[in-house]
Amino acid sequence: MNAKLSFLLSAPFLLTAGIAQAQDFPTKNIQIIVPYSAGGGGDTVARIVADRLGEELGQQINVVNREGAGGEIGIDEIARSDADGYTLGVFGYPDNFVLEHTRDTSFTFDSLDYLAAFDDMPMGVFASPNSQHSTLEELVSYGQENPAEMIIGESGALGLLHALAFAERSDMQITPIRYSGGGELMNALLGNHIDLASTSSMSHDPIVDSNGTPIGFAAEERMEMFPDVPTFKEQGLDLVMGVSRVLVAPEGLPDDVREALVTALNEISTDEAMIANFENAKIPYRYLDDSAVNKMLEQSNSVLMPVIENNLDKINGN
Amino acid sequence: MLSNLILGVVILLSSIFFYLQAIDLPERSALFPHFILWGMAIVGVLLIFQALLEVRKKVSQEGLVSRREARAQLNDILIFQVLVPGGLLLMAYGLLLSVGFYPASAFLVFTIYSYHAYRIDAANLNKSMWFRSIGFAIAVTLFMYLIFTLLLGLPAPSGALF
Amino acid sequence: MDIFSILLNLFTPSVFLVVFAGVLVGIVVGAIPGLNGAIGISLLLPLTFTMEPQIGLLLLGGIYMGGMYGGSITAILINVPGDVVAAPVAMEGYPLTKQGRAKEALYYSIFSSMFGGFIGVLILILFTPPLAKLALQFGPAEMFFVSLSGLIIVGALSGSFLKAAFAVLLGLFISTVGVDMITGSERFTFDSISLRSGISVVPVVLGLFCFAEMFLNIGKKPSEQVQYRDQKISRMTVVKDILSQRFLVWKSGLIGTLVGLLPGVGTTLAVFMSYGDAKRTSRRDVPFEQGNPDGIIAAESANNATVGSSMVPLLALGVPGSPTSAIIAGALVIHGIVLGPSLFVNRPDVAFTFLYGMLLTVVAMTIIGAVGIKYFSYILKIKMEYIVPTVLVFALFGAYSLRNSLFDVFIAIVLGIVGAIFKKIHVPVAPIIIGVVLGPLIETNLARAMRIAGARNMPLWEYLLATPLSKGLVALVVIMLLVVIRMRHKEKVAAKEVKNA
Repeated sequence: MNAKLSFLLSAPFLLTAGIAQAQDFPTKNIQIIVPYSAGGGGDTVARIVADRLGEELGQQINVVNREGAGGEIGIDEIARSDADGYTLGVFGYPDNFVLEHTRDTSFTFDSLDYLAAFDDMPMGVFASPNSQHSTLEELVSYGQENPAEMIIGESGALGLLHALAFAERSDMQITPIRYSGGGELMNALLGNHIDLASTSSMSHDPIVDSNGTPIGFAAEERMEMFPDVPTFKEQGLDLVMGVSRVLVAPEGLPDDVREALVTALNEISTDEAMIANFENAKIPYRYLDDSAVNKMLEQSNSVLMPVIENNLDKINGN
Repeated sequence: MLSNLILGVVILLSSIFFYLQAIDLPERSALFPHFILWGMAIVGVLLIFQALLEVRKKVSQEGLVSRREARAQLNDILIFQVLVPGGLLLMAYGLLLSVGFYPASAFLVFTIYSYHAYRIDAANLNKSMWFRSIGFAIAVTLFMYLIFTLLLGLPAPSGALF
Repeated sequence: MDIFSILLNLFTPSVFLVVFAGVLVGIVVGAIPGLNGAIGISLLLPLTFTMEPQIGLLLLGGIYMGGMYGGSITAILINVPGDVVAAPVAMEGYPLTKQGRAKEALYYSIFSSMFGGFIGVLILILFTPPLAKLALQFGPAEMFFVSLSGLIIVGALSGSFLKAAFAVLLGLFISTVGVDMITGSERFTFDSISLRSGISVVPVVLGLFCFAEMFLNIGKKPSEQVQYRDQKISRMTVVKDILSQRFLVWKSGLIGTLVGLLPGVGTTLAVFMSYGDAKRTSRRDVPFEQGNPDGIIAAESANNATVGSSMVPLLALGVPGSPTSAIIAGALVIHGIVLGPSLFVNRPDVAFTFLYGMLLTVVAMTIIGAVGIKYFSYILKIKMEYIVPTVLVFALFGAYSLRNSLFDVFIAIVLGIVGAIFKKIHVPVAPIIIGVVLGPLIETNLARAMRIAGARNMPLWEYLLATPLSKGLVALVVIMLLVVIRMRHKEKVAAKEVKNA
């Protein structure tokens, strides 16, 4: 409704505004909506990028946390806001895709314009400190003999999907249990209240420090940061799934605004100080520009879709 | 007491309403709300009983008068100190949605300040009061703008205009 | 670097400046209804990126500490708790203000905060590793019993039992609105996207405590208003009195520390638990909710004690125990500091500066509080006609700021209307808060327990009572229940005696 009203009020000026914008976007502060609470991985990425991007564009960029309903509230707000380049969003793909296909959301994949991706963080499975299993093989053979006995904790839209795909591909039944956040999940794992945790590689250090065991990462190849942790692939399990923090705008940006943003993003993508911040935060940096990110997302969507469809009743019913 | 009777009835009816809402939910989701709503319904019934029992007790003439007074006072409070300011806040909320936080804030300060003065004494509503009211509304709004938007950079709820 | 030289580094002007600035910001955001320490911390977070990590950490730690105290100022003076954790303080502190003892109440609050803050931080310094292990012992079964014991506290508050029961059930019900955490199905959302994210506790508190209180103040003549009085009371008298209440302040600090340790349970539960316990053991003649300083002592020392202990899982395991410490963890991560046991080996300078620096935040809070009280209490000189509109617009802003949500503002307004009605028909509002906080804990932990018991093929009760810790907690629940029943019985007898006499 706001958008409509502001459109009506500004309609007479739109023509001139369009021309004026070409030279001087941005002319005021920009806000980046993050659909999670402050302090998590997505929030960290947003803050690192906002800092540097703001310098590049010569305007302050404010990070606004808009959490709720597993990211749905914030993503919905990004999709609904005016496509003028002054409201952007940062979140972990594929949260939007999973939400869209498991719930009745008002946004779709195409409601957003994907401008860049900054990292590539695989999901992984970790075993609790007391667990008798330290390899995938042991774990799977136990799981197949004792269906549904092993308990895997998960949090977030992708956490559950990853846990379900992990069980499905390795032909065993495990019982997923939901936690509201990464901290709570780690606490349950380290206290041996659950057997396994399905979470991203970012949790590696605290879990290993307290004697938990990484079983594997759902990555194409071993991560530079954690060369000792095997991938599922090399252990014979075909599962690649990860989070990628993307910077988006609502669909329908004016061409010149989009151009200005994309140029600025490409410009900062090689900034060493920014990359160092990513490394410090244990976030594996991988920059994709606007055309590369769309290619990556399309491919990833086609991989995820069958997994979601196969597990839809489990996602909704349990 | 009448208020307890009404409270009991409202609790009972709303727990039935929400119970019906929760009937289609998957079993594991419905368990906890059903449990709570059963509890609410029981509390509602007990409140009704308690109120009815009290009504049946014989009350002296004096008690009746004082009770009537208390009821009149309660009604007075409900209308003037709950519904009117609540309505003003809801109007401010509407303004907040349409024109943004700061105009809504000025409106709210202005109306509440004037209403407060009116409630103390209707004769207070003279010219100098209106000026004070406007001045105060502008001052508070400006102060909030300085602190929240300029100094702290907190996002304010924005409407179509601001 | 050895610990000694690290500690010497603490005594530099920049550390002092940062600590004082942090605490001051914390007190201010804490006192403004709706804003709290967490918001203050996320505001100043970008500032810390350019600081040395330990300095940035102390800034955030100072806000956390100050924020816990700040809420009590407005709670005592105008019966508007600036934050959820200050709700019990309003219940005891405002009656004292009405008796002209505002300054005394503020002194009780600051010095109890000081004791609580020291207890929490000292325990953090001395016992982090064993406490972190203890925190990990709390699984679904244990958390379920802890939350249940929190519900029992409601019985200890005064007033009609039926109405209190209704209030707590209403709170529990409010907590079920939204997308169900466990199954993902929507409950009572009526197809509204805003309702899907649920109703969080801050707008509930703002509505029930702040808006409702301001509504009922409208039309109060200056003569009916609480008058400012320059009470002659020395700080030492209050400190001595706090210490003379046998173990009260130590016990409350300990409750705060232990409950604050548990991830997700949070400060609110700790505060209400220690308040309830103080009510049981208080030896003063003053009834509770009529201005008994023991309530202030218990609640304030408990909430500042949680500051230290909520950092325990963060420092020892790298697992944030509260939303606020999660933001602090995010700040550290950008500096490339990995939390967990390796922190003390890899970056002892950061770890120890922060640990001991937290003691400084307590000192700064005490100084600012003890000196500022004189000026805080000037609020009472301001006429109601200025206070009511100002508090209302600030609260409006605060309700929005928590999640940048207009819907939260709406919820706060609606609950303000409901809360004002409740106050007039004597439905207590504190149990609603307890219900909203505990609802998700009880439900999710019970659901998890059922799930795990199912997977392990054992009956639910067997899983619930599997560990010595959970057995102990069940015993605690039963004892608390008996105590509360006895308390209510005693109150009834006392009330009858008053009637007869």
